[in-house]
Amino acid sequence: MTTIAIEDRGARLRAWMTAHRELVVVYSALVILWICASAVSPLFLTSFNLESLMGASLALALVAIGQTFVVLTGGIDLSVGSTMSLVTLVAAMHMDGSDGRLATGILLGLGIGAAIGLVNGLIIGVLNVQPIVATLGMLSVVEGLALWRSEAPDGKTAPGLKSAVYDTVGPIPIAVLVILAAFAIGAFVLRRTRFGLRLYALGGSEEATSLSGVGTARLKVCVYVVCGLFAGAAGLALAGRLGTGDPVAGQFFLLTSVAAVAIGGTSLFGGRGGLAGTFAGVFVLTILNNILTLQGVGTYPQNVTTGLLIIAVVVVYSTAVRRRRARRSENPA
Amino acid sequence: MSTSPAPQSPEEPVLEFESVTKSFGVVRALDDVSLRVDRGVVHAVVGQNGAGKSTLMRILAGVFPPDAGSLRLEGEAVTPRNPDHARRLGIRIIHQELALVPELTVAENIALGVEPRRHVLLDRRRMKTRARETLERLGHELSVDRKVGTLDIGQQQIVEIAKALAWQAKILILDEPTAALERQDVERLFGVLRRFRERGGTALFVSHRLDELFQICDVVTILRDGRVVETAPIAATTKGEIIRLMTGRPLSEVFPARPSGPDAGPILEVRAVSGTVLRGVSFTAKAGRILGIVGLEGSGIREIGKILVGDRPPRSGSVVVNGKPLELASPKAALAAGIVYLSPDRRREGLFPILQLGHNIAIGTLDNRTRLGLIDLRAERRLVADSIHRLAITTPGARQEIQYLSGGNQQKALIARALASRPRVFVFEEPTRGIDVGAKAEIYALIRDLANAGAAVVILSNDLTEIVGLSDEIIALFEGQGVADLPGGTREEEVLPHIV
Repeated sequence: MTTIAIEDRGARLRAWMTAHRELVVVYSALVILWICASAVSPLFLTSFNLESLMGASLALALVAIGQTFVVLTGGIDLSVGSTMSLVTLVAAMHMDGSDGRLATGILLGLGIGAAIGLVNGLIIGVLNVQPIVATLGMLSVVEGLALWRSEAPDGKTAPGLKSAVYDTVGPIPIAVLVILAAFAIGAFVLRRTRFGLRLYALGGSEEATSLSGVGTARLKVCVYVVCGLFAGAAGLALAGRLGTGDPVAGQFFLLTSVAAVAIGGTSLFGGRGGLAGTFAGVFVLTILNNILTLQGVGTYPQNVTTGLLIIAVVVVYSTAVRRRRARRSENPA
Repeated sequence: MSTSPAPQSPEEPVLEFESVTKSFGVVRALDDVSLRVDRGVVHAVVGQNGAGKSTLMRILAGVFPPDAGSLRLEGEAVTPRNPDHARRLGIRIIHQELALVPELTVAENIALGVEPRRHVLLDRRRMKTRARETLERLGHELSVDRKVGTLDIGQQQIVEIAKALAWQAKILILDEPTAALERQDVERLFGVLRRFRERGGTALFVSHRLDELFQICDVVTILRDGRVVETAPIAATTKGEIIRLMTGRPLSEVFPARPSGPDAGPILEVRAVSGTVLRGVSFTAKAGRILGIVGLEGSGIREIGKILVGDRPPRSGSVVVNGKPLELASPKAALAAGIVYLSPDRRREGLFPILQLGHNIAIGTLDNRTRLGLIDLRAERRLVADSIHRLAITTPGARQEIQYLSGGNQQKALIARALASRPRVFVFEEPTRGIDVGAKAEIYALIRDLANAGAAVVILSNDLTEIVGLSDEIIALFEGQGVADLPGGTREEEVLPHIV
């Protein structure tokens, strides 16, 4: 009896691993990277380094959650980086170093993110423009607005914002708690709400979703607003780290947010994947950059490494998809 | 049956069309069509392409309104304003291309659009029980946690029907539901439909496969040129009669005459070929003749196609063309040897759906019309115009995107593409799948013309009527072996025992 049960469990585990190959790959990569990092650099496991690592992850984690939502629908949001830049600038200039204006500054930042998301959503959902084109245009518009306002870093964030990014509650950095909470809420929304299910449906087949009586236009508007909100929150986290507003500070996050989603195994065609993968993707990217920095590798070689990693992982995934398809067509029953 | 009235029922019909008329420009697609559909029946609607059946279904599904006339649903005059309205009225159309999301599970697909909720949250447990119950009602067992993309097409279709039931559908419109199904899946689908009917559900069944009507339908309505020619209980009619009413001519005229003179010798010789299914199959295709190979799904006819097109090399045996043994290692090698293959899955393996008709025809032979690396557009236009004329392709023009042409015209375009490479052997697999009876006759005539022009033609099909009507020689295939070699004109009932 027992052996059968164990064998059955073993078979189920193997089946789960085949079905979630991307998760297996990205979490293995994360563990290996962690072990290598601690072996290569004695500084890696110091609490100072880990705390700064978490602080550095926070902005990426937030923007990558929003990006995951959008990518699951088969879309993409290229404007998140410039949204983050604009938010750092506007929020820092508004706060002007005063904790009294912290709350309004946060609302302002989130509001800007949501507003940009709303415009994206309306262009994509109502005017039926392809997401890549609509958000590419928006990238330029928002970047232009930020640089127009100020070409150089300007403003000063409230001290409270910086504490929120770097302080700890007991031994645990606040950043870690925020990241965990954001991922948990995001995953809950995807799994346990009608909205979440419909995002997967939209990404899997827009036609089938619409034939099921789901208003796809409204759904698209909503998902880009959500993504904009997360980009706004990420912008605030970034501002807290920088201590000031910077019209180009967010640029870097366009690539890394999409990279975290892709490394996490969410299909860029939509319909497949989720936040569990993105979570690992975020930390694979930050730990990689962290260890390269600790080893004294410069920014540009780091960009080369990150780029190569993205390509390598996506190649691994696409062969996995091909294999799955091949198996399916051989054994249709 | 020609003058018998529609079957009378004491009950009020679930659906009535009254003098429905619809025109598109100068074309009158429906002309004064009246039709009553009783509750709890499977009602077949048949007709050639252009007869008006899809227009009728689209009016019912709310795609567009009729120009004149009215619809009654359970006695109440109502016209579906849009697809969503039609759905809310309980009318559900099940398309050839299924409206399911492959990455979602069975339960999720059935629930999509009407997801059960508890407070604001998705009630996944109720979603699953509801899906399980609906499938049970249809007498079908299926794990509701499986992703729909891992199911075969037959199972997916059943999920579609379950989904329709979850929407409280009263009337199902099934548009060519069996076109992509294998035999055992068709049986399963019919089982599900019978369950649906027993529970008082009504289905409109559109199909080109006339044999099926006699298995599942109660009543048949035949449309021709936008008019109802006849509505009759299925038991009161025959396949031959339906074809005659659809086409206005008898079945014997659907197939072209066989040639009388001697053949011009063998071109393609397949000698003792074995593969994954095939075991030592041999046959010879002669110039000017049509060789029909008939067998059920799984008998190996698909593999013959794959071997001849160079897609799957045989394990043993040889293929000889004009006395020369061939290495059929790739589709390119097969083409170079003068063998062209026309796939039954035109959409995936033949057409470039969003390209123009002209480009679809010309694309196979670009190299022949290229000068200094550039395409000779004038030569291309000539080829396309000739093809459209010669094969009588019905199209608004060469620039029409091919996805909007009918199945028959798409097949003609593929034949035109094949012809342009001047092949010596044509291999057709299921040449008329998804093509209606009238267009079939045209395709058959074209295939006969190819043979008469000196090509060797091989037809691979599980449609016995087609093989028997068209072939000069018939090979029956059973479990990978050639079990009979019969002359053309052998009767269907004499061939059948060899393949089952």
